[in-house]
Amino acid sequence: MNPIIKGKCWCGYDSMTVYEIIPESHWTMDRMDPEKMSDWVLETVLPEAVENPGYFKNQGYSVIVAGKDFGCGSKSVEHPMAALKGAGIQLVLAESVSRYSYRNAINLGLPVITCPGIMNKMNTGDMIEADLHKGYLINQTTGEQIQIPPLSEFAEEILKAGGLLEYIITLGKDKSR
Amino acid sequence: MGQTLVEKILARHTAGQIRVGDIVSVKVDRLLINDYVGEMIFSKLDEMGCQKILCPERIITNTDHNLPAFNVKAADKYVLFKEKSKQYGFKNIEVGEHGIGHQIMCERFVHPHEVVVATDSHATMYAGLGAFSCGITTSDAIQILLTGECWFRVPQSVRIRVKGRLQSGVTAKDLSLALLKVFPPEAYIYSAVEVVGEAIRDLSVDGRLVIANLMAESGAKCAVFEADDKTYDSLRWQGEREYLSSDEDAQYAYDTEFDASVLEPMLAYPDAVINVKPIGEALGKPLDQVFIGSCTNGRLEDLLQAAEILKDRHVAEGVRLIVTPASQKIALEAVQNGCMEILMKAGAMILTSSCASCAGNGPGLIGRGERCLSTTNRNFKGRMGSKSAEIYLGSAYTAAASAVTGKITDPRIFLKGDHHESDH
Repeated sequence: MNPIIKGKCWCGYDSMTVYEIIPESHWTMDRMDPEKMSDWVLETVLPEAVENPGYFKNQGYSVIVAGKDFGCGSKSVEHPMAALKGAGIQLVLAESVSRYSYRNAINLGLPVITCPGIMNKMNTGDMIEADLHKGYLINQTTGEQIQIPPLSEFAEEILKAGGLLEYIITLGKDKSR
Repeated sequence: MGQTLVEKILARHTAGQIRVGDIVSVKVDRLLINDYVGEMIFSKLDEMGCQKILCPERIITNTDHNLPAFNVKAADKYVLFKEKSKQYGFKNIEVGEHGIGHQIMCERFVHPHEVVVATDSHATMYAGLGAFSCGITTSDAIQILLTGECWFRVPQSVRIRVKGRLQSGVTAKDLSLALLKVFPPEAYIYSAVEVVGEAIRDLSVDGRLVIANLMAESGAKCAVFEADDKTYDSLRWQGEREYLSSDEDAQYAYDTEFDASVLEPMLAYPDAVINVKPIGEALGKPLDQVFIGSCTNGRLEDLLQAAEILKDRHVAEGVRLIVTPASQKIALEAVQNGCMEILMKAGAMILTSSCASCAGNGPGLIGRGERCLSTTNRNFKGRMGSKSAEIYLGSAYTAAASAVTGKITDPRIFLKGDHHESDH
């Protein structure tokens, strides 16, 4: 993972559930296909996305900005965060994050940062540049500079490896081989 | 600065110091893999070419969402669980000793002050026995299988000191619903919610499990309970008994007192678990189905509460009462003590132990426009069947009383005298 992330934001809202990120009917419980699932991201949230596969993905967003309790719904499944990654999302900034979605995002190599107050500083379509290691962000559209909490050391290690399983393998922690 | 109970348990399972907010690698004593995500875990292990698991004796596998198999897909899943458990040396729970995974864990595999996790949200229940427990994800499970450890962010603690004694007809379920609303929502999210006080000491172990189970709905990372003699007695503990609690100068982000003695029967109203209010506003609403079961409230205490009201009474015409004991062990006890006979004579349909309709993919679903009163843990639209159905969550007393009248009913009209659930 490059700690510098640049791209276009999509702004969500408070209490975005995992079901809204991608409807449960697209969670394939035998194995995950992030590419395929990404067609249905926000299908029930964006009117234009209904029966229009790939709508969200094709808008070219790289960053999700969300309100409180992002990814709530208390589901352990990894599909919603995998689908976001599949749709080109490289970073989630949220007022607060539900614990399963936090775990799943980090485990899949998608950085999630809790930044109280972020919703007031961003609009959909804004271009940003963030340095996750140093903990700052520039909203290039408004010119505002924003402090964000840097990634924890452990999270950064996992993200650097590309996800939890890759991290385990890289570190040779996999004692079973 | 003193440590909270959850910090003490986590510290025993990590190499270094722990501080709130740190991410630490924690030794896991037990892991339950259930049929909801088990297939994903096994296919990932295949993909990674994994031949051997680090500590297979710590792993329990269980199928409880579609039990017994009612379609070929579910049957194939059982085949997979059997094969993989044999291949890796996991303890697979067989039919005959079956039940809802969380209940089986509490009956057989969880001990105070252990770290026990499962691939399902309601693993928070094991805290009722004094363990640290929470739900984890597919990748987390693989980390445990390969390394014996799992990463956790050390949670901040919040505390609810529950004083007073529950009134007759008011149960641990009513208390657990009320406890979801003691703090503002942000206090619960990612926190360890420590529940202590005289009212908790007074509760049975079954009752503590209800609160720990339902705490998952608050957004908390885990619930935290002290293990006491009731805990050790319930486990038929042979070894030395250890009593851990938070230090007096431990830090809490939120800390409050809650008076259980003034609590009335509570319900979670449609369509959210935290939509908790006293039963009053719903009284008289006609019902189509009443469900008593689930890992939240399918234990012997619940069946006894139901039987207390249903003895010599009958379920109202046009209402289905479905009772699903949480495990085969509980079902057998309910047969032996005569409880099952009372329920069946009253017109209850008894199902074998499973998640049944609670997760929306087992037997006992509700249809279009129906209204259900259930002792389970979730009431989102469509959770137990049709999206146009309504689900109210309440205690087994409330469920049984409502089954008798055919409408939502305060159970206290059927209960006389100074009765306490801990007297069972």
